[in-house]
Amino acid sequence: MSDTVNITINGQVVHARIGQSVLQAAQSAGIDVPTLCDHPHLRATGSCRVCLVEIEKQRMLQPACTFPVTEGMVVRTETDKVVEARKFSLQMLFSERNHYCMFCASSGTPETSECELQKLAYRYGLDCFQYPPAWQKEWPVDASRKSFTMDHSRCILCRRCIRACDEIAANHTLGVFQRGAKTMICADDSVTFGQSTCVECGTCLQACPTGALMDKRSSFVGHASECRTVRVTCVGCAVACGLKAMVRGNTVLRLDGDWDEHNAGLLCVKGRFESLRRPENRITKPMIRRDGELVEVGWDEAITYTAGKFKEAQSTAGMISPRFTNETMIAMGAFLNEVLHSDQVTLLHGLVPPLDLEPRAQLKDLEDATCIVVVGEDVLQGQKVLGYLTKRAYDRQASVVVVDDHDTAMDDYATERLHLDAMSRHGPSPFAALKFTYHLSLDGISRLRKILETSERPVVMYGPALSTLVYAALRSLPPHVKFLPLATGSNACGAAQYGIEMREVIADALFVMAGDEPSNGFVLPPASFTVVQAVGHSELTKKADVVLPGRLWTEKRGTIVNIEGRERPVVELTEAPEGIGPDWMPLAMMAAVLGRPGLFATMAQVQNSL
Amino acid sequence: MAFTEPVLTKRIAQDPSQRKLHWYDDYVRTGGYEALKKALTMTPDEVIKTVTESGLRGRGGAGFGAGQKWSFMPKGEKKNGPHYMTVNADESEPGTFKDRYLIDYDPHQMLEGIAIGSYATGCEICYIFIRGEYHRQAKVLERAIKEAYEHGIFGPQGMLGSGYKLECYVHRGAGAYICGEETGLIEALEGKRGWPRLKPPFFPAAIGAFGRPTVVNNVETLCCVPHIIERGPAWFKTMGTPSSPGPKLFGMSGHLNRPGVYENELGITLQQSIDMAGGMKGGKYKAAICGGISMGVLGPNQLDIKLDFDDVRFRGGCLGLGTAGMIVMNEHTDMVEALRNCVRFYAHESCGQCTPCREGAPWMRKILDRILEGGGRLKDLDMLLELEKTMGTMPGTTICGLADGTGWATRTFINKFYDEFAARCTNPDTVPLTISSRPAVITPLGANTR
Repeated sequence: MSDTVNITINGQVVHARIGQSVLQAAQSAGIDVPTLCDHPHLRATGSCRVCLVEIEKQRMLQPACTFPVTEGMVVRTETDKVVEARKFSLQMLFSERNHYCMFCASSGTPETSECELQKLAYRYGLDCFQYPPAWQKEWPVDASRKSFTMDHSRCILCRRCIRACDEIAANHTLGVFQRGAKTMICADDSVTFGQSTCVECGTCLQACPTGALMDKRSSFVGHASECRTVRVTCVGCAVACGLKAMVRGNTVLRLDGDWDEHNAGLLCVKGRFESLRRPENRITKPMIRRDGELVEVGWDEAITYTAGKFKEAQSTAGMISPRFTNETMIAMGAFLNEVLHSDQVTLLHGLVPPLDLEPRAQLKDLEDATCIVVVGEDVLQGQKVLGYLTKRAYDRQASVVVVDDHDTAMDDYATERLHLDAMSRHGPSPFAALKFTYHLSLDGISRLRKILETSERPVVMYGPALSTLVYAALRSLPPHVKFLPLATGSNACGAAQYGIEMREVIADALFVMAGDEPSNGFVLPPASFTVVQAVGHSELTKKADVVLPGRLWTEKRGTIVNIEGRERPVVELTEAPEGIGPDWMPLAMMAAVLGRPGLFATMAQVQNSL
Repeated sequence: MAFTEPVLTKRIAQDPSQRKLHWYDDYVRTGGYEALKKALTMTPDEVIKTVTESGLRGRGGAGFGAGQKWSFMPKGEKKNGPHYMTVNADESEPGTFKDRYLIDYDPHQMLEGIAIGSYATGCEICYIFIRGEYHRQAKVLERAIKEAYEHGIFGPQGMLGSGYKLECYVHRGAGAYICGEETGLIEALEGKRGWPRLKPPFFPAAIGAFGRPTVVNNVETLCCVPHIIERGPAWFKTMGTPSSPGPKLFGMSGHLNRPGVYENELGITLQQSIDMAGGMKGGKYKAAICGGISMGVLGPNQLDIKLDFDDVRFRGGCLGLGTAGMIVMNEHTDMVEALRNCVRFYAHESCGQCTPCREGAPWMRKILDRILEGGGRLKDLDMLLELEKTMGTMPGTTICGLADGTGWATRTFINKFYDEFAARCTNPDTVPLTISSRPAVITPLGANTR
């Protein structure tokens, strides 16, 4: 019990851990001390002076967020003196810039307000301006970023955004310029945010206490109180970050990083903003190509037609996007194997390195790793969240070793750089990604080994398509080295569990499940008959003989497996348009036509047994 | 109480035309670096004990015991890495110019103080943080440090042949007043924005520059040290008052016949200091800012206030003696204008970290602007007093003391010259209102702002 102390807050005895601040101790005891600049996941700066409290034996009022607890401390959080100082700070903040709440998207009643400043104003009864706003200037609104705006007139200079940018995203874009009352948040050397080095991860947006940073999509369309908040998983990449989705009616308004998940609030631009962009031309009905044109038909007709073609075909193959859930992966495998008697199932894209390198690292291991090695994958391009975590490690002076065959965005943060040799096997083909193997020379391997052996808590992130020798070398590393496989493709790890990975296929009839795959750059192997199940029209559907509608990721239900090897839930946030069933529904219908009705009736049992 | 001869300024002639810069040779010829030789024969603890016994209080404004501050530094086995000595020569307080005078004519006196102080506190590296505008002084210091290196004071060969080594560098500030606050200074020294650090830790002796124990001293404090070592604490205590012993430089400016830096002991009266500078010019005495504007103002009937660290505070009603940068004003001075000038300075120099100071100081300025332009009402004065109380004089509402300075200046000006202020606040709304929780709405100030 030596690491706890007893303190008294407002007459209540509170047990606190040594190293906690007064604010943390109060919060864990359920005592509400108001604060604006403090954020539980950011370093405290004690600059807003709203959390001032009276501490016995201290001559001055002290900010609760930075004052450490000591044995026998007596704290009072709501004395007259404290409230006076607190109200003064709030008055000053209100008179500082344009805080006319009625024009702000965060504004609301005491219960519904999303603005922490407004909530405190309600709490302390600030119903008029004691110091009426005396500004003459207008503060700029910077909307040059694609997904969110910065309205400087709502800014209270708490600098949470700066700390979020520095400490969570490790991007160091934001700062302040000028001083005193002229202080402004700025990006880089005071350029607009759109021109800056900002990567639009939106961590600052999530940390902002007022309406200064505003999401373009979700502002002025509803309060959090009018929405459901659902904890879901991002299917943007194999990190599978935890999300908190704000859903109103049938629309997802906003995605926030889940502080309590493995990503600890961190998201990338793909997960936070781009994943909510809707396909421009959604496919809502099955279509069959007749005389070169796609014609809308009913489900039964499309399925019967397709099933007939597959029955005739000499050989069949299935291609599935790694964005699908485990359940759909199983369904696809079962459909090909049991109904079409074909073993040609492949991922549309996405490679998985060997998953047997033990012990497997978790994302939290990256947060205190002393050495991070990135082999054969540019994490700042692919799995950006891992890139940010690596940059954080670089900031706390851990060593970062980047091993790759070409220049990567991670190179700027590398303390050491080793070179991979690319070995090409054949000429170009639709499966170009499969044609390369990357090799690290023996000198490089011994250097890597030396770095890792001397490091205390090393993590190796290794990409796919390395040579067998490199994998063998990684397997023989000392047991304190932890491994994180850099699978490309959101659920490629899940697919690998069920034996589906990227391989070359040749077939007459091709069943392609593209789903809500955002990019168009896939080349399909030549086939006489191609079925594409997709959410929107793309290059893929242009060549398809039959097009089937599919579901967006927000309309799916199931599980995916991330690079940590954890199963993560995918939850339906919105309802799919009428007539579009679950992703495996067309497979089930075709199985029924082809003489295997009820193949997926026992789907849940199958999944459990696998 | 006996101040018989100049101490700190003994090499500097009273007559400006006779003053000359003392380089190394001149300094040694007049008895320089003897104290350092003596200090090196003592143990560091003995040096600290001597300085503590002398009762030397920091001359940078706060008046904290110099020996006590040094004794906070980890010693012996507790020392587990480099210590830093930092000299605060960022003299930016309006009315204060004593450090410039010392560096201008006698830089080696300070370097000797640095050498002794660093030896006592176990520092390996000394940074002299000098105000950015002090171009000439920075050059003087750089040359003096070069000489000191050449003569074996600093450098890797050991101080005057002893085993103790000290490196010394000049770091030039970039023009921010807030970098004179010791933690702001340390941040700026580290290459960051000069924002004062959070307390606790209350002293940089625990965590200072680059995360290491650091001692921050004022130029004048260090200049006193060689004299204390050389002539002993008992001699030092013969000057000044029991609680504030020693000599002090008074930077006399304002409506005086012979403004300038004068040395005398602590505890002389305000009247004596005015006489020292040739008496009042252009009219009778009205007010005097006692130690840089952050300390507040002394009123017309306070000529008998003793200028030491305590009397100014307890009898004078000010924050303290500060740096003894006196700005003396005659009877024709407009006190509203004077206060506005002070407050304008704080509004400009607030670093912007804490809400109350960042916004409170511009607010005071706006109100004073309005009063000056004839739009003042009596309740504006209540508002000013309310502002200074909640932002400044109520301790702890901000991270550093800048807001306290703003508060004390405003409070003392208005309280001591209330009638003069009230006479300027003649707008029709004459009923003096105390600011209640629900005041009448007043017109926005924007149109009147300069």
